[in-house]
Amino acid sequence: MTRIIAFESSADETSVAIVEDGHTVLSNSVATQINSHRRFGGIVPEVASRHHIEWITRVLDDALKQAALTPKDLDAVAVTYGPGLVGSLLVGLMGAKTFAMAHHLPIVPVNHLAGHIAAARFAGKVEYPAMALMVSGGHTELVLMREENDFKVIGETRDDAAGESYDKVGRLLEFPYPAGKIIDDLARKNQATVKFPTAMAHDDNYDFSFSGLKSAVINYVHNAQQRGENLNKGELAASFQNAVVDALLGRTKRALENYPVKTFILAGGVAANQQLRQTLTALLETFPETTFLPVPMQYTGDNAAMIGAAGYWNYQAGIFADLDLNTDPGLDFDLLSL
Amino acid sequence: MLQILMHDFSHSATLYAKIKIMKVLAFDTSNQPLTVTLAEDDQVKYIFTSNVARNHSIQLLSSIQAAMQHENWQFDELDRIVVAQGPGSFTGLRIGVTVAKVLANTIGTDLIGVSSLAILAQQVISHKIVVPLFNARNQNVFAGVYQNGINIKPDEHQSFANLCQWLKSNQQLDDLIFVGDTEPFNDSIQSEFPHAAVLTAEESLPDGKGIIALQKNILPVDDIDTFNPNYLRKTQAELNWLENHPGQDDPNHYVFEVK
Repeated sequence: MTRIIAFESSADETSVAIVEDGHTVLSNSVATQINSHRRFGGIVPEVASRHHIEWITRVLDDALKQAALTPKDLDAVAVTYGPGLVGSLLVGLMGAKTFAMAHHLPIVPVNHLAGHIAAARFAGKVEYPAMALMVSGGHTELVLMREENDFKVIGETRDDAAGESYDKVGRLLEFPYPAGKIIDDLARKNQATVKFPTAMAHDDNYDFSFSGLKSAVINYVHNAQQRGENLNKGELAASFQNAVVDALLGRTKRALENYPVKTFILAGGVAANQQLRQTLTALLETFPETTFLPVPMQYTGDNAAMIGAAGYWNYQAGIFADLDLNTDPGLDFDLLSL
Repeated sequence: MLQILMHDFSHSATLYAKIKIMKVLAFDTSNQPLTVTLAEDDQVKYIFTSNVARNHSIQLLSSIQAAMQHENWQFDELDRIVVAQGPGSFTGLRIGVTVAKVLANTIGTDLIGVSSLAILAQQVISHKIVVPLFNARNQNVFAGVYQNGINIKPDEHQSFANLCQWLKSNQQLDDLIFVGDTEPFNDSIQSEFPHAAVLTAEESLPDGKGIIALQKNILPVDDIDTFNPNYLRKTQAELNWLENHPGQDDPNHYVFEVK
């Protein structure tokens, strides 16, 4: 039995969790800064860093208390070292390294994106080869895992991330930040009336593009406003979300046809989107050899439990770091070389 | 002590508490220099200083561990963690304060914050008025005014011009010593205070001793959780927001734990 305490602070959530054997969450304390950044319509990095340091010891105490464990009961310290905002990452990284130093525990460096994918372990067992659709505010990519802890990107966004386009369209429609859940809720209650372009639908690859869709929505809204028309925000949200989901679905279908896998994972903040979960569930029914493993709702956003899950993969593979571990804000997976 | 013990056993615990040596770990990452100091009470046992432009995030913990190993100290023997709390580089302060908070929290020891400017002033051996300052860009400084170890003007973010004005209206002009990031302000200092002494940043590097001398007179913080860097400046985004939303600041509800 391996118990890992994990630290995550890459964006605007400060979190510490304790996870057993990579799949059982003993505690997961998350402090979210959402109300603060809502003032500015998005994350302000210096403000985020300041909040992290205000909360780091509180979530640490809380994680130990929830799990009713002491440092002596732990085997390793996992920590997100990238990708993310450098000032935010630093607080979790220094906190984790300090905790490890004080208690003579090994440090396990974790890629935040691997963390999102590893959160699928809280839903069930991952069989290899596996594939993940990783969709968040900063990333949109299809990741192939030929074996455990092997991540290769087969397709990624060439411009905006899917979650980023939600935030930008949300701002345009004057929804509070973050707009993802509001748009999803509205979209499912309304009919899509506008056919927005699904970018790169015919291109011969697995890449995504969302900036064209964003511009189309902006143009549509501006034209309507110039003509003095009343905007139906619900219909617009439904139309926009259909285009996003179509793009994600089309690429995923092609990837699954060309890379048969045993497990398909939906991960990242946008994995909380209900329409995306439903349409992917339907798609995966046409791939009977593949088990669909969407990350459980409560672990789709940033949290340290997922870092504990990915940390366990690294721990087993013998991937450790020293006290001089630094942040890597631009960390990403390698592309699959053909 | 032996005699006292023989005569009156009941006083020995009190006596022991008074003579118990306090093991102190202090560090300063508030600007480019890095210092790590170990002391017993105010007796410095070990100093590590570095002025290489290297990330404190890489260097601080291995420097602390090397210091502890050099003195053969264990973390659970420490009585006090002391950190330069600011002002200074926001990133540097967060690195030092995060380490100090988590270490004090997890080994259950006292935490003490010391002004980074007071540390610089402490190193100047003189009865004159000492003005430690850090460059805050756009002709602004983080600065305080000190004399004989006493803070006579609080550390503040201010324009250099306002600082000069205050010094001129309040102090004897001949008795000033400027320390810290003085280079960008050298011309102004020379013209405003021709008799002032000026130490450059290189000449006023934290030596690891000032922080030890200062900490002994400072009480530990009551609540480690609420201990934060003294940035002495709100972020620009918050300043702009506050200007447009007077009376709407609600700092207790900006961050909350997800249940």
